[in-house]
Amino acid sequence: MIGYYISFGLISGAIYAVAAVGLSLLLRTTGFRFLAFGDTMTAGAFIAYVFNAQMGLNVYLSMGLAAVATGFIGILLYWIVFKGFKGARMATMLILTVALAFIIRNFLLLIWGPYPVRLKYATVASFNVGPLFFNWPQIIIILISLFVMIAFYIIMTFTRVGKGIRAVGDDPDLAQIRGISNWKVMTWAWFICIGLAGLSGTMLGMMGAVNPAMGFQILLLAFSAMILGGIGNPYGAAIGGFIIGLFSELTAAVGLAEYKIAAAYLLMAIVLLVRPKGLFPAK
Amino acid sequence: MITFLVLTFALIFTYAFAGYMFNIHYGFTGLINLGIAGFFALGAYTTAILTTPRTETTFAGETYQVGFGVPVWVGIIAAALVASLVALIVGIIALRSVTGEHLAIMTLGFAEIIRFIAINESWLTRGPMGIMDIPRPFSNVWQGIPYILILLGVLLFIYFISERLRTSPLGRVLRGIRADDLAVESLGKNILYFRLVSFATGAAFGGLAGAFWAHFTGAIQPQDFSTTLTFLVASSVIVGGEGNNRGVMLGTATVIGLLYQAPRFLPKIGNPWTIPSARFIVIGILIVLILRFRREGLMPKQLVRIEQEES
Repeated sequence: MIGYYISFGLISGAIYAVAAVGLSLLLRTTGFRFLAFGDTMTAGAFIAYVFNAQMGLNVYLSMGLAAVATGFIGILLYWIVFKGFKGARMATMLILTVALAFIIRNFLLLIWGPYPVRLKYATVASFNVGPLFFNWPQIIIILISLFVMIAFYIIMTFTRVGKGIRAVGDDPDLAQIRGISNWKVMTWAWFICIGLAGLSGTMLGMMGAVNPAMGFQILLLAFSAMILGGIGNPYGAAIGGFIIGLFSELTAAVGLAEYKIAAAYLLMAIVLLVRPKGLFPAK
Repeated sequence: MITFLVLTFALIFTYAFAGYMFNIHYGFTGLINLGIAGFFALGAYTTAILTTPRTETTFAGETYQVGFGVPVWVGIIAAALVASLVALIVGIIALRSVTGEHLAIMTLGFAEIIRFIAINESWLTRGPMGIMDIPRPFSNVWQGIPYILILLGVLLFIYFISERLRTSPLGRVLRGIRADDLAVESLGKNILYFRLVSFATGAAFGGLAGAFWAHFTGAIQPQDFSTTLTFLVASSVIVGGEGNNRGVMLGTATVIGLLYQAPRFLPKIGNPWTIPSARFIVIGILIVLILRFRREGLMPKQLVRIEQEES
């Protein structure tokens, strides 16, 4: 029975990990906490729903398309909203992102209504993998998550874009002097981060129903994962995602299923008390 | 029409109480408390549990006993105290460990945890059903207008306290912490202590807001205290002008009265959710524009005159 909880913890961990990586990179490059992240995830899930259920595309193809489309929403957000707020106080940015969260959430509500919708894909029976239980879509989700981590590492370490993002994240002025266009790099950073949000949103949509309110709880879980893993360290955030996923499902396993999300918040609070910079802080 | 006006004024007044909480936290001290709904819920549930006459309900095969039937004013005072006390605990965890930069996330999580408790601990809160038959003082007298006048009185009282707080030496320290916490610390002030004072004082107003709202509606449910509430209260303060006590009233009247309640008179368009969601988009865009072009809100912060001490 415990195997069931662990498998589900791994699946949700894979989803939180993707979200936390995007959130963490966004914090590192922009310097603020993007509280509309959960709602951009929901947006990704709804875009995937349009491709998948309304246009009849394959579910994994729609996931990819939705991730790219959500990435473009990120670029739009940067161009239209965030460029005007360069150098604003942290408090202003937090309030601003809360307002954006409500704009996005209610925009989705306006278009698709409050009723949950489902992505269309063939459900198959679960099978045993050692002591764990999975079905194929779930295994593919975990594989996509791992693949995204590896691709993210390669992009950030070896490509011009990735190096530029890290340089701007460390010191925008220095990067500018060295001839790195902040504007271009930030556009890429927003595309990648919000694209990751869209991807994790569609993964979440595959595991259950898609409704406009679903992003908010995941926002706090993704933040827990990011803070747990270490501020400014995307790889730590990925590990944090798996820890949060497993921890909340194990809370359910000991009979506190109603409090599994609360338990994840508490874990974050305790870690912050003991290690204010998280488990694997950036240097 | 009278019913609608009474409801709107009750909303504006109670949300303004919570607005003063956000104003003390954010406008004065720079603490971003996104757990407004949590303190509101604490106040509402405290007074509801204390003042509701003891009743037994059987629901889905289980019997719940809720209520102690104490007088309303005891419940309201208890609500303020409980909210303050919980704010102290939350503050010690969230403000001690980090320099307050995680406070927004942690208070957001706090409000969610309060909501989970309200949903799941049915022996105390009757779970998703919520608590009904909360005493509603003066609800049958003149269509509830006396209660609105009481709310107005409490609002003036809270305004007076906030104004005193703003102009007092304590308020000066708080504003200093907001502007530059390291500078204040280097003057020998204990920042954590002053932040906790601000957090607990503000939370008492949040608790009052919830309590007076519970006694107005007479029935509360866990889903009444979602982030939407937090968003509306925070928006009101930002629109009115954070740090300005009169701005809180003006902002709440604008956001709650004009943007949240008045759209009910619009002709019905589209689906039942079209106008309710459109008004949140409008409020959201208004916030973005205010933050971008008029950071100080409708009423800018007033400067405090510091009286010269004769030596």
